[in-house]
Amino acid sequence: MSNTQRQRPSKVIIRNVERHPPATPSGLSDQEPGGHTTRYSGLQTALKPLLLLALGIYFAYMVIGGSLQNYISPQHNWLAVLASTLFLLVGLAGVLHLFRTLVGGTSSEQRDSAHQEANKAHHHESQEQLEYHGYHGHHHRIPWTALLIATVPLLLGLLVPSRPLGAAALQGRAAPVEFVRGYTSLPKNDPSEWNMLQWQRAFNSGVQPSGWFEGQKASVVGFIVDVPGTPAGHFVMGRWVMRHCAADAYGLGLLASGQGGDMLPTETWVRVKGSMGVINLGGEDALVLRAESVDSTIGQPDPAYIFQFWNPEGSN
Amino acid sequence: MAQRTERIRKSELHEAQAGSSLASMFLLGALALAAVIIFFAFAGNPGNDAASLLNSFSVRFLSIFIEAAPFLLLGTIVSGLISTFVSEEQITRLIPRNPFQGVVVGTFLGIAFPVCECGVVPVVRQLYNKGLPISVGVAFLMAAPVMNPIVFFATLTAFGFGPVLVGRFVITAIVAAAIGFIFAFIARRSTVLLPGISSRTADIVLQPANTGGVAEDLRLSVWARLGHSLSVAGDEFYDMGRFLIVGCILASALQTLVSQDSLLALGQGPLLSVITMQGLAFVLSVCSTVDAFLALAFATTFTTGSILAFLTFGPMVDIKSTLMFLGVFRRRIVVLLILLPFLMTMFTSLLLNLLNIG
Repeated sequence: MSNTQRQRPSKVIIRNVERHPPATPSGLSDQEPGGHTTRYSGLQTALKPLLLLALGIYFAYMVIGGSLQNYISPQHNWLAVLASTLFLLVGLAGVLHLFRTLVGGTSSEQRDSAHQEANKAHHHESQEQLEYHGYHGHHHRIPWTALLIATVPLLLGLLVPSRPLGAAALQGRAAPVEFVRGYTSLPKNDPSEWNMLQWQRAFNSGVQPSGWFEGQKASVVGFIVDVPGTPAGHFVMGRWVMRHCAADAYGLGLLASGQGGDMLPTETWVRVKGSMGVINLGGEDALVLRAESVDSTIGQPDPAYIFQFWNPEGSN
Repeated sequence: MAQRTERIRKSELHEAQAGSSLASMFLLGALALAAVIIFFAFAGNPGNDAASLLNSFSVRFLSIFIEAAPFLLLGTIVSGLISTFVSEEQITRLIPRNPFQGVVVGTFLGIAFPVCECGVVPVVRQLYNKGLPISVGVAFLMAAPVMNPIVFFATLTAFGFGPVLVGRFVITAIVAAAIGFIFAFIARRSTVLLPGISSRTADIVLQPANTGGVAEDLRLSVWARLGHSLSVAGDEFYDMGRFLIVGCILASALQTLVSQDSLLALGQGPLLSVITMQGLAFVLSVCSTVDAFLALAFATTFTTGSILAFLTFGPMVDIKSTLMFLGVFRRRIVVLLILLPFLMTMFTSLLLNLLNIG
């Protein structure tokens, strides 16, 4: 080989060799020709598949237990099922491999060093090839930070109580009006059954003039939101609308008045029955629900979100 | 001979460690940034207590992760299968002689070989070893991370059938082909590739992870090779997953803690939104199979044009791929490989913003 070729070995090996850099205090390739040691990767070899299995079980738990709907819209539930399956599959493959390594014992280690001697002669750099030829001596290593970071979803999922987005998240985050349009005709069901999304879309689409809304009977579910600047005697009901997942959900608000709704604490789920009206807020027309009754005993509905692409007329 | 091997190995390992610690530094830096954001958010959000902020953050984080994880797993499994069952000869036979036809084929080759942007560089390097024309490799490099079925379904899942889905693929194809054509004019192997890439003798030292050697060893049964693919997939999940999770943390933190007005200010300016999303895409370095779900987090505040910049520029260039390009191309060429996609995707997205499309 010429000098120039030797001076710049390819850095793309990073991805390959990175898997098992023996970056340990005990030293580098002077220990073993392949540059990897069995001691340090033992713990990792066990933890890696176990964490994958744990993630698979966690996903399955979310699907079966129903908490999945706090995070994603039902049309995507199959994704969680798929993820659970794949996590369990890959984790299981790792566990089987781990088992084989443990059961293989000394004989595989001997085979390993024999292979490494042979490999030294016609230097196979690829760890894939190394561990391939000594198949039972599988010593892939990943940076420990990678393992730690992978625990974050599990930690968040298990330690933080699973709840949907609520009033606190809605503070100052109501969607721009442009979001809540899109109707070319009014929904088919009776207005007295409309949920907050239907009301706002109907109002903002301009299908009917403001006057049409005056006096319409309504029964709307939402949670109390604390909005600074709410006129006295009035309160704001909020609702989250999910399109695909919580990350792209947007918040809705509906002004309401009367029946002591303004005394209720934030986050309280209420069903407000009454009739719709139109008032002028800061130069723009807005819906206001004039309450005849406010029921604060309903608790969180199931589902908590309005799923725009799954059941946009439901959850009321 | 053995001494030289030892020295090469050591320098490669040092470089590997450098690359690995660079990636780790980036990740720690990103996490530190998230921590800073969180700290300032608590300071500036007296109304919201820690518990509700944590809940909002957690819900958003998990929602992105739940949608993205299956696609990441699919990508790593397919990558593992390719590395075990497909040989590079099969690929090079598909390429026509004419460099311009070759560029077009290279642009669409990813449809048959769904590789993440991380998997594509070793593949291209190996193909260069086998004599692939530079321009074709570059087109494939730029296009393959997006032009494949997994990314198609991920984007479809995240955004539905619409301007984002169509735009992503059209823009990527055009930009990748254009860059490939540019390289067809300027490229001579000696000026473009690092020494040692384009000769067969380099094969000995430069076997990548995805070598066909595994596939060619027919002594192992299909089951064993499948098991091997799954093992590789598991490791790749950790390797790639850390970027995804850090990306999720940042995206969720931004959404939860930064005020809507600030986000809108960034997200609605025709040029500012584009550059912000390109910068975000570069820094977050998320796999192309799942970046659509991260982009979703900004769908309410950023223009469609800028979201498309995120989805077209990110898969072509980011911190990860830049590191890997440096292992194949000379430094000046790497600069070109960063600048060309940056300018082209910026131009198309700016145009879309100004024309108010999407």
